[in-house]
Amino acid sequence: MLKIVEEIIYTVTGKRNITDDTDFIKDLELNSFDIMNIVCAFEERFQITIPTRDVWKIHQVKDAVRYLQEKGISSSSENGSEDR
Amino acid sequence: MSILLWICRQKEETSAEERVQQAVEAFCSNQGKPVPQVRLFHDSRGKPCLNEKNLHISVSHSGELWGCAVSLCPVGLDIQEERKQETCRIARRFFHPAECAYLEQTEFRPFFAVWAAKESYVKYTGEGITDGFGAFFVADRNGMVSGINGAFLQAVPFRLGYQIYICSPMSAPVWVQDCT
Repeated sequence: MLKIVEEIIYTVTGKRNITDDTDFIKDLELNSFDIMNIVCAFEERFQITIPTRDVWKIHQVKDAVRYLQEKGISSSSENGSEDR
Repeated sequence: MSILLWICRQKEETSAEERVQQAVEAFCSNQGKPVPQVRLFHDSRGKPCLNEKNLHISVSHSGELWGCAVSLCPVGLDIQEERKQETCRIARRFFHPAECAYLEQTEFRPFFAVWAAKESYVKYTGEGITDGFGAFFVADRNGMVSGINGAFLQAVPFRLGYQIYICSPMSAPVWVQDCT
């Protein structure tokens, strides 16, 4: 799952060397547009909807991984439990 | 009322607080006011504030630029580097239908102007980007609007490849201090 998240972040931002503890704002220096861009990429890739109110609870990569797993996304399954 | 837009390079070896202090110094010096030693904190919604209640700031960064707007009134600033992105996807997800219609008729060229204007507004109100980001519009078929809900929006020309918008309670001259 980390690899998938890393791939999406790299595709959207061009940034590499992501770990579980990487903070989107403090370490990757992303701004709000970058973050929403990543949200769109996650939603499109996994066919889920991520309410904006949930986005601001996700600070580090591990929060994103946990959030996706709670949505029913796993490394072997890329379809979430919600329909768009 | 006037607004200072203080801009430096994002990669400067200074902290956000040091940069804000420099911006505040420039603003106060220009206004003939004593320069306070400011302390930067964030309110409950994450909006940056100063211990000096009579001064308002808004900060933003994108690409190579970092900026701070300083004013005696609430202010919202957004800087966006124009780069190749999935603008259609993002607009459909986050923008108001009127903005999407405007972008479709303009081949999405003003996408980053729309984003910067929207974000400057939600930073001005202190709401930040919420699920209501698409509930208001800063552009329609006639182009970018100059105001929204009593607040004034203005584009600040600075550098090719960047869109900068400031939102304020009234029309106010913006002077730019370029420290890049």
